[in-house]
Formats: sequence, structure tokens, C-alpha cells
Amino acid sequence: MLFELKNVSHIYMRGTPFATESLRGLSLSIPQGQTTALVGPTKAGKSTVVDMLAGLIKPASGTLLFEGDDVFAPSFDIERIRSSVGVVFQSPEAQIFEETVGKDVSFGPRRKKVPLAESRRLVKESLEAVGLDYEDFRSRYTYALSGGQKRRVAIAGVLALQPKVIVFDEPSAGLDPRGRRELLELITRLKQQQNLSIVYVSSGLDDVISLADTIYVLDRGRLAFHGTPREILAHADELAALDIALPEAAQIAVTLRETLPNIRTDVLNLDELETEIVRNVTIEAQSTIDKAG
Amino acid sequence: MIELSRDITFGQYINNGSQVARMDPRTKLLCAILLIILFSFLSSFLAFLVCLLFCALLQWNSRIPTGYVLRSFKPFLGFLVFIFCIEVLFYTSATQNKTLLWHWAFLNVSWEGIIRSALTIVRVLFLYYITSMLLFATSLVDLTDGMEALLSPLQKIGIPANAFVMVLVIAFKFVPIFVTEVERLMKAQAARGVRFDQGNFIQRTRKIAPLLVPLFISGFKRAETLSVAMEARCYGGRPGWRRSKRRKLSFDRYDALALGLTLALCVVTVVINFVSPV
Repeated sequence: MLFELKNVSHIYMRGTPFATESLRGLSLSIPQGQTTALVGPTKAGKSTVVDMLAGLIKPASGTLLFEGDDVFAPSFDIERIRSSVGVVFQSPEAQIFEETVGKDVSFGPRRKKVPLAESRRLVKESLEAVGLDYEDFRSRYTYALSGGQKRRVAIAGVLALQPKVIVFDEPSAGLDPRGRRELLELITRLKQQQNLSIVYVSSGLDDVISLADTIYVLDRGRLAFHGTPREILAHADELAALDIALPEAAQIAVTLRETLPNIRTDVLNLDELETEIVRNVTIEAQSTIDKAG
Repeated sequence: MIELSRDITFGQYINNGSQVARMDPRTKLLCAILLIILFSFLSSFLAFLVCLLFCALLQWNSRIPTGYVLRSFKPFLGFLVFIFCIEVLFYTSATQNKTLLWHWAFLNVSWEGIIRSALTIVRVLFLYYITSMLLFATSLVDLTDGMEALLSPLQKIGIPANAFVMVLVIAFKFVPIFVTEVERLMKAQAARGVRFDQGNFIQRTRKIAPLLVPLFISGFKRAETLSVAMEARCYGGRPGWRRSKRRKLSFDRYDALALGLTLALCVVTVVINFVSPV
């Protein structure tokens, strides 16, 4: 197991009148080499988990294990987690702080005192991995980039750290459909090529249904349920109660339940939906014929 | 770990619906001004003791956790100690009747010096308490309304008091926003290998410096957005335009009581101050 959270609780602004409980006894495990998705409505505690996985905040109670070791034990070197976990934060602007793309992407390697030639190679590879041309982009000003480009630069900055895991905190928020598709393709490609583990945090199921191996659904700091994408979609009504948007195909299936009461909602894509509709319509027709006959 | 907003508490309104929070902002401001003048004027420990009682009453009425308020004193305690030492060492009395305890070159430690400096520190603590209490218990909208109401006579003689108030309010509003912004930037850097919790004072300061440029840029961006938003809602003086108010301020019994108590405190402590000068 890469990460294990055991009964973790966290309170923001503890000891002030603004104290808010963000996690209440959450337990989940994130395996190596897979894509794990954390899904939940706002205030579910997703971003808190992200900060915790990045080793930025300490849980008020409970334990966080990284590769089997307690992260907040005195003997644990927090550097280990920081060098193996890369985080793409909620808004990419927050993550870019240098003036030029080249400087920003090379920030991590420079911090680690990687030799110049090696650092240059890392920057080149990272920029190309996210589909940006090195020569063209390295001297561009970060403030003049478009939203989609900023997101790519932020990802490149994380890749240059050569992490084992990348945590994406709502990476597709605010992107147009094309930008979103490209981003998801990029993540899939990165996972395959660089053999990364991915943690994908999202408020809707749309992105993660095709991407994730396991989905954890969080609600107000607790684990609501978890499973494979198909298992999650079977909980259509609970998801609706949590205000989590279903993917298109599943949403159509839910709407069709009025006319086809036995239709299954755990359809991953439109093709599966089609098969399911045809199957149901056939059964319906058959029963009508049987009654008439 | 990185949770700045926990340490920076100055000026955050706590909406707990207490009587102090619901007071008329004009009365609150008046009382605060009176108390600030009073605290600056007093020079007797006994008088400050009476003030302490008053503050305890205020604290109890505001229903804000005492520990929370006291923690906001922490960041500048070191500074106060420093000021205290300097004041004691360089104290020179006007009347020269000093009881010297220690003397070296031009540095003196005298009994009067210690008392005087202690008084200054007490005064600063009280002033800090009353201003932070005003901000804890007053929402920004209230504060603006109150200040505008109190400064409206100036508007009549052609001083743009409303604009000054707006500037002040925006400045206050931006403090927590900037804190969150710094927190975000620090997290982004920490995730890429910067350790803010390591190294000596100078090393730590050097790590803060790279945060400033993006902070300024986002600050300017926010200012621009804000000015457009204000313009879009027709903020600004054109001849013949007057901003109207949705909410009417009302002075009721609790306000009268608070103002009365404050005035009584002023009278009592000033009398004590004359009767017992130390």
C-alpha cells in the first residue's frame, strides 16, 4: 500500500471561533501503481486529504501511513513524502510562482540541487510530456499563459520532481470540454509511460469513471462508500442525495428508469447504455406479448 | 505545519450574535475612541485595575473565547519585552529624584524607570485589546456604516470622508485574503521541496522573499477586479448623487447602557488617577 489513512480526523483553525471539522474518522487506502479517485461534494474534506498526502498538514488524530511507515512519527523524514508525492493544486495559478515557464518548471530540480545539465533535461522532458514545446515555452512569461497552458506548466513543474505519485486536486475545473479531454488523456498517458500512481480528486464522477481503478466517495469528512467505477454507479440514488453529478450515460439511465424500471444504472459509457436499453426494451416487449398472448 | 490563518487573528469578525456584536456601530466606535483616549491618558496602576474589570465585563459579554483573544497578543510579546528593556535603560526623569538600582556609563536602571515602562506596556496592551475587540465584534459593513455616520459632518465641509472610510475598509478586508493567498503560495512551494520550518531566522526570511512577487501580482489583480466591480455598480461621486442605506442604525437600551458605563469608567478612573498618581 502506498498510502493508508486510519481513522483520520482534522479540524481547521483549531482553538478559534472559526474552527471547522473537515475530516471525522476517515479511513482509506491508496495502492501503488493505480488510479485512485476521491469524489465528494464541497466540504467533504477532499482538499484536506490532498494536503495530508502531500505532508503539508498533520491530522488532529488518527494515523497516516506512507509505504507502511507512520508519516508523523518523529523518526519519519518528511522529505521522503515530499520527494515522492507531487501535487497539482486546485487552481494552477496558485502553483506557478516564478516569472518564466523554464524557471518555474526547474524550481523543484534546483531546490534538490540537481546538476544544471540534468535539470535542463528534466525540464525539457517534463514540458514535452505535457505537450508543450521546450524551446518555445521555456522563456515565456507565466502570467501571459492561458488557463489550459498554466495547468500544463503546473503539471510539468510537478513532473520535474520525478515523483512516484501525483495528486490532482480538481484538475479539470474551469476547463472547456476539449481542454478537459486533453487533460484526461494526458493523465492516462503519464500513468502508462512514467509508471505513476495517480490520486485524482474531483467533485463529479464524469472525469473519474473512465480513469479510476477505485473510487472513494466522501461525505462530510467520512467515507460514504467505495468500489470500482461500476460498483459506485450502482449507488445512483445515494450519489444523487450527495449532490454528486453522474456521468452522462448513467444520468440517462437514471432518467429512463421511469419508463424502464429495471434498467441498470452502472453503465460506464454510451455503448453500454445502448446495450442496456435494448435489453430492457426487448424484455418489456416480450412481457407485453406474453400478456397479450 | 502550514496553517497561517490560525496565528493571524487580528481583525477577524466573529459573528456569534452576542450583544456586543449587535450593538449600534456608532456607539461601539464612540466607546472605543473614548477608551483609547482614556487608556492613553491614565497613569495609575489602580485606574488600570478598574479598567481591567471593565474589560473582563466586556469580554464576558462578547462571548468570544478568552484564550483566543489572548493568543492574538502572542506575536508581539517579544517586541514589547524589547521596548520595555530599552525604556528602562534609557529612562530619564524630569524631576531627577531617581532611586538608582544599577548604573553603567549612560545606562541606568531606576525604580521609577521600571514603573514608568511597565505602565507604558500595560497601556499598549489595553490599547491593543480594545482595538482588536472592536474588530472582533464588528462586521465590516457595520464598521463602515458607523464610521461614515460619525464622519458625516466632515463630508458637509467638503472633505471626502466616505472615500477615506472605503479605503480603510478595503485595506482591512484584504488582510485575511492576503493571508490565504500566502498560505496557498507556501503550500505550492512546500510541495516542491521548500521547507519553511527549517533553518535559522535569516534562511527562513529568505524563503519568504520569493512569495512577495506573486503576492503583489495577485494583489493588483484583485484590486483591478474590485475597482471594475465597484464601477459596474456605480460607486463614486457624481454631482447630485448620494449613496442611500438599506439599513437604518438604531440606538437602543443596550447602547445607552454601554455608553453610560464607558463614561462612568472614564470619570471614575480619571478621579482615581488624580487621587493616587501611581
